[in-house]
Amino acid sequence: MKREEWTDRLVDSFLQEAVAGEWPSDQTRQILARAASRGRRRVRAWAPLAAAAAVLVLTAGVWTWWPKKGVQPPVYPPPAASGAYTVEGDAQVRRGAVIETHEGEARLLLGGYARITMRPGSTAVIAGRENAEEIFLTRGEVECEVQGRKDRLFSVQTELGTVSVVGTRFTVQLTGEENDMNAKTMLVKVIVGTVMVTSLGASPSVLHAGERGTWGRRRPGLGTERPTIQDAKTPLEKARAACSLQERALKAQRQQIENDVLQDAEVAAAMKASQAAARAYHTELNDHPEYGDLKQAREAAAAEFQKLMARLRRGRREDWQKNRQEFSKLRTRSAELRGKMLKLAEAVPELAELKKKKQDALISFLTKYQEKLNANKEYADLGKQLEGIAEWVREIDDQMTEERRTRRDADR
Amino acid sequence: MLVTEHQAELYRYVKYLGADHALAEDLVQETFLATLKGAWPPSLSDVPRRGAWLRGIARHLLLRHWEREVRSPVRLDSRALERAEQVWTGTFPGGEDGTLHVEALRVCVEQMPERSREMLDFRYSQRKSRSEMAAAFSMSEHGVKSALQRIRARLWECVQARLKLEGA
Repeated sequence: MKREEWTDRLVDSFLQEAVAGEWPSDQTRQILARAASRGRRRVRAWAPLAAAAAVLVLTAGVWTWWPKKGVQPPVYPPPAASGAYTVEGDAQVRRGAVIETHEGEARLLLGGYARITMRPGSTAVIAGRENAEEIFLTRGEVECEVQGRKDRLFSVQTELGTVSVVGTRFTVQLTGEENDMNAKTMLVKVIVGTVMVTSLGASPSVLHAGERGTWGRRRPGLGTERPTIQDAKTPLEKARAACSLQERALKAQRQQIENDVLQDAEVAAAMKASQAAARAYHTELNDHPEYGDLKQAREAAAAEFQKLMARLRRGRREDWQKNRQEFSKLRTRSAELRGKMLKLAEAVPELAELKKKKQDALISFLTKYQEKLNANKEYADLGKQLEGIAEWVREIDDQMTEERRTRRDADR
Repeated sequence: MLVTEHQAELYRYVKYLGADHALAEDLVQETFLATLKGAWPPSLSDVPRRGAWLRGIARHLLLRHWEREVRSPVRLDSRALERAEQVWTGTFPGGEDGTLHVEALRVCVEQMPERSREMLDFRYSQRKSRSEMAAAFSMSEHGVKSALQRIRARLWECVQARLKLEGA
């Protein structure tokens, strides 16, 4: 490649950032997490001085990067979006706006600390307030990256539950039929850190890095993988299955500690306060006459949507083409109504106050819960053991891939 | 310090060499993890030299990734990568991470004629293929390729002029 071609490529890569919003995100936490997960075995190979100095360099990095009180910009950043998206209604990206993606991806930046990638075919409403940013996902999938700080919360709400975090990276995917809550499932996958999922009528669940869980009327609870030790044929497959069994046992122990911590007097009180605040807010909201009208209108739109879906399922391909516009109109109407419902909650002072109380109570509960878990030595040890197993699993997977590749090459 | 000062530069560098967003993020992590294993940076106070050292590691990791990926469409040898490095150091002699260039580029894109902006939107925001763009703009695929190259060249001139004006 010539010099001019490289310059062209440089501009091309910069345009991906400037136009498509593929910006470099902060990787410090991921690097630290990966360094920690590899650390246990590597320490034996490293010179202790090198390890100490390396940790110093990384810690200095986190210290410099970590947001500090007092250096917050004076103006709170408004919601921003880039990529391929449409905004319903007034076509402006702001709180209450309904953002839709079709064939491409869109990126949202909320409060300067929550970066959300909306996958193609997703709809989300921007909700929340300063330092308690929130989106309401009505369909599709989002990947969220949240820069952690104790006094900031980020939540993804769906009809099936709420995923709340104070700093992590995770995805939320809604599958199943639109506007039919009974047929929907919410899949949460954690990439880095820990998230708390509060679902309808169930006690909160905690998901850690590498874990995934499914919620919904049909498939409630945490997703689990069945170990297949009896099906394993090769030594590597057996080792992999053994690791899975051990992982399950350790995770069960960890879950037990999490449940015990939830019973701790201080945490339980904070959780009760959070639940009471949520109940107070929802009762007031449901009693509001305007909210009731909006809710009724949304239910009517959902029923119409279901009818149309049933008709289309029975019909032919041409019917689908003909009704496409109606289909998209109903979907948009439903999301718009949801946006209006969220806006109402912010516009009525009493409701806004109750919502703030609800979010503050949730932050207080999450912080207390995390602090208690962090202080539990057994919990920390289990975490380290699980990280060790995850490292073995990665190595076994690498070797299995290598074996498959060698076999394929030999077959050729 | 090492991570915060160089992660944006490394991300942009590996993307410039041909990595996509996910691979670029992964390589940035791998590069810093690799620094934990072995040698120390040449000098903690010499930012450009430290950047060059980290870019060398990232380049090596990218080459290894391409060697492993049998189906990878990208193929570059070490000589081509050396030339790429020359262009990079020529553009950022002081070890800058490219943020100023991207910001200037954003402004320049807004100043482009409407058709050019539309083409950029199709190519980068909507990720349309060359054939889809050719159909949408009533051009041949080769025409789309040349038009995009011309737009990029004009944008680069604009970026350089802006940065010169701002004294960067």
